[in-house]
Amino acid sequence: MGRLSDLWVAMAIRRANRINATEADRLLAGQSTDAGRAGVAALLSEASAAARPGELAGEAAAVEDYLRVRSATPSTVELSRTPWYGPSPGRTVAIRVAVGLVLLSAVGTVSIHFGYLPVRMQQVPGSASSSSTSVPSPSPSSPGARREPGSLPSAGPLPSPTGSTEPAAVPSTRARPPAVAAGQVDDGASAVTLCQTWMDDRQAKAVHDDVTRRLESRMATLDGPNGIPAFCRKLLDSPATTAAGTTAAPTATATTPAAYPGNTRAKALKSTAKATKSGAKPTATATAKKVNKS
Amino acid sequence: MVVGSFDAVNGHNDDPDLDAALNAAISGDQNGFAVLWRTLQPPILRYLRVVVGAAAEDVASETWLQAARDLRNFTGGSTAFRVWLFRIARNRGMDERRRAGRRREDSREPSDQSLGGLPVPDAAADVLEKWGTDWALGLIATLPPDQAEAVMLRVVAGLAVAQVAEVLGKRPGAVRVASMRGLRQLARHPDVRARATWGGTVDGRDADGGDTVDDAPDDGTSEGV
Repeated sequence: MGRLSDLWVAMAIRRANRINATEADRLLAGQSTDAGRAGVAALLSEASAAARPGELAGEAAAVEDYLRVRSATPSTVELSRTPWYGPSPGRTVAIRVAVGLVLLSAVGTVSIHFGYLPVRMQQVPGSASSSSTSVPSPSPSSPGARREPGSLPSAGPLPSPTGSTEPAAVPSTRARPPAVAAGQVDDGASAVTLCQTWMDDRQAKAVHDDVTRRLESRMATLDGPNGIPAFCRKLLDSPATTAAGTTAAPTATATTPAAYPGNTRAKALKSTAKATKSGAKPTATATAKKVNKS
Repeated sequence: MVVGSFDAVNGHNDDPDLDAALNAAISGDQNGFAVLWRTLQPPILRYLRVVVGAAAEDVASETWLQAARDLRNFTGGSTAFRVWLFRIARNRGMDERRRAGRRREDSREPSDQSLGGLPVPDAAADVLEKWGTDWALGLIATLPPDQAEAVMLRVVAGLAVAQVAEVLGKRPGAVRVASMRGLRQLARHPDVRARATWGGTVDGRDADGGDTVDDAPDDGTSEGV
């Protein structure tokens, strides 16, 4: 216990004798008169002692450097104070050209990516954009090549005039022939497809509004939805469309589910095929064949 | 060594003679520049000896060269010039320390000098330089860099706390604490105690006043500023 108290007293004495901020200020200012700080005071006094001759040896060289720098300073100062971004014709032209090239390349890249190329550029065969991307440029008269936001989905792959099913095998939307868009007069083949779809939907009692609306747009001279059956019958009865329709039917069946969310139309087509096999109700195509044979 | 009146709070007041020399040097008078150099070269050199060691003279030359180059744009009195000059010296010293570090990394050879320290003294030099300026600078150079710089700028350069803070880029409170801790550490050094005893000014006590307790590392937390 005695040792502990001695240690405590010693620590208290040491703490009380430590240099505090006030005493440090006095020591640093050379004003300390405390005998206990004589060592530190002597140290600081030696550190700030008068200059020795060796420390002033380079005066002549320093003055010479000063004169040399002063003689060279005016031009240096003027040069350094010239703003680097000051007017310079060459620099201005270079900056403008660079900015133009960057903007052009950026806009071109975005346009090619999203299909917003200018009409004239798309019409030029083998133009830089189409050759570089290897994407067939869409016809300027068929804006349906690119699906607009909120527009109707494609009516499915169109039958090839030669009876081949190659278009159905192309997965890209851009590679397909132009799809049918609302309010646009399309060729006869797409009308046949629409008619087949509409009649199949009607048979399945699930007529799609989009198809009806599209057909109405092609029947502007007829009397609305009531004229669709007659229009489609007339269209499907023609020999060319019948041949095309028969070959296109499997293709449409194979690829349409992807075009219609929910597979509503696919189910309808499947049910139609079952009905045809069982002989319950002939499809519109079969009906057209019979008519042609007779 | 320093010119002009000095007080503990404000450091050096503007010295009329030094102000005149400064104005003359700004206007291109080499005599004015010579006066400035003679007045401030010793403290600059001593400060740089603590900061960069043996490269102090080269760094001091770079300092004066830059000061001569930029002196045309300087505005202010002799005190502001003192702060400005020591700031230049410190920046050049930091550059030299970086260069020295790169040289050491490139060569991969052990250096005989610590970073910013003085050469390791041998016995003969120790005897010759005992109790001299080099001894004092060598002891101060053993302090941590911030404490050594604070002590040197306050004692040798004669700058006030605010001016030292301006040079070091720190707050005045930090400068005050650093200089106080530096002095405490110096007071515990055996050579400083021996110097106090040798000077006959101490009546049996240590210079630090604590002769019964081992010197523990100063954490600086037991006493406020």
